[in-house]
Amino acid sequence: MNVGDLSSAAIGRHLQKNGLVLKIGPFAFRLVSPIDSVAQGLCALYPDYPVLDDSHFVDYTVTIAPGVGWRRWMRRQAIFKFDGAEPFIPLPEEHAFPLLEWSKNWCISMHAHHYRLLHSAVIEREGCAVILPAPPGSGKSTLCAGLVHRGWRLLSDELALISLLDAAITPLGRPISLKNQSIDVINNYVQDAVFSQVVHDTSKGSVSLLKVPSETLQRIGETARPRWVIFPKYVAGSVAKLAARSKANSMLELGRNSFNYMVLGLKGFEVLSKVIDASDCYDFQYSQLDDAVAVFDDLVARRNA
Amino acid sequence: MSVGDLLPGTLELASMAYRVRSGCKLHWASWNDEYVIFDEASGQSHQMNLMGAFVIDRLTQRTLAFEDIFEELKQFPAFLGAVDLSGHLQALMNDLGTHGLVEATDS
Repeated sequence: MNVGDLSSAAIGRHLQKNGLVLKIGPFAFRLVSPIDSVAQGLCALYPDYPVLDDSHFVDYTVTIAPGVGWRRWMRRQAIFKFDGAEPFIPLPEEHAFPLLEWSKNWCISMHAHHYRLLHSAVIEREGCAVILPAPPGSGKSTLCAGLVHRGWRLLSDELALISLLDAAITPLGRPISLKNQSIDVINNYVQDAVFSQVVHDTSKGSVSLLKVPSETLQRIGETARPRWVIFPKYVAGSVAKLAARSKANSMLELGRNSFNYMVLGLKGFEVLSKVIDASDCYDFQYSQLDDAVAVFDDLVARRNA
Repeated sequence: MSVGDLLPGTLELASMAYRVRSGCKLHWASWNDEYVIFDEASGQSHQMNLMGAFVIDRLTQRTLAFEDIFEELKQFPAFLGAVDLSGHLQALMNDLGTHGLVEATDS
């Protein structure tokens, strides 16, 4: 059974009682929240995700709870709770659905140390993965959203899950987080795009989440091999252009973008060097999505040349 | 005393002997003339050029005086005829000391 097989009322009931247990990539999440916007966001963006039995083993239980005390009546809040702790400061209740997504990121990045975890988007075509690490504001998610609606498969918009055994990348396949002008850019670029309600005045500005293409979830069990590491940057008015970059420096940059660099020690180093061994490394700047797509498609076309 | 405590170009630097810092456990990754060294003890990775990799490799094998490192470096084909090799080496030893990869020793 998928989320889309449940009525919105049933989803709300699950969330308020024992929680809704979802399979998201390789993880099982129990989601608990009485806040309406959380249920609405899940109905809109998660219809294709499997609902697991309530007794299923759960990796992470994420609760998005309302504020207590006088906050129930004025400036209502949403609070992320995990194992009895509140890892984030409370946010306005309107931020509840993005908070749920950020909370999932936190759970994975703090605990899933059986993977090398990179702050990076990952897309794939013909079995070859592109790792796209970049700081916020670089245009990474916009590029990723554009590419996955032009033939590339989304593995992840935010977290690369790299196997410690063979450096294969496991899909996570969660909604793509878009900010500010990127929301309109993708709304114009992707026909019938499904977004969550835009939430304003977050720490990242205005935020909306984009539903992932169905193919992402149909192939959620298929890992991909790293083939390129590309550091994207949106530069207004620029021509889409790849520039080769140092492998050693790329490895260090991946290390800086790793959530568990110090946790994994030598094993993590060995895995990153396998990723770099297998990858061509580039800086990439772009301003137009169609041009960017053409450059990425060309990479695939001439990869064996 | 670490090499980083010494000013580059001093007589002391040139007369000191160096070794890989005690406790360092180094692992390598390389692509052509690019190197990354991972120190398992500190958990830090360091990018190296050919000269840095050459020096660390030699010091991994044994303690060497600055002059001995310089003599070996001069013979290495990639550095034949290099301008101000001694100055580059002094700066490099300083960097390696600052990053906790090598240390000066009396022996």
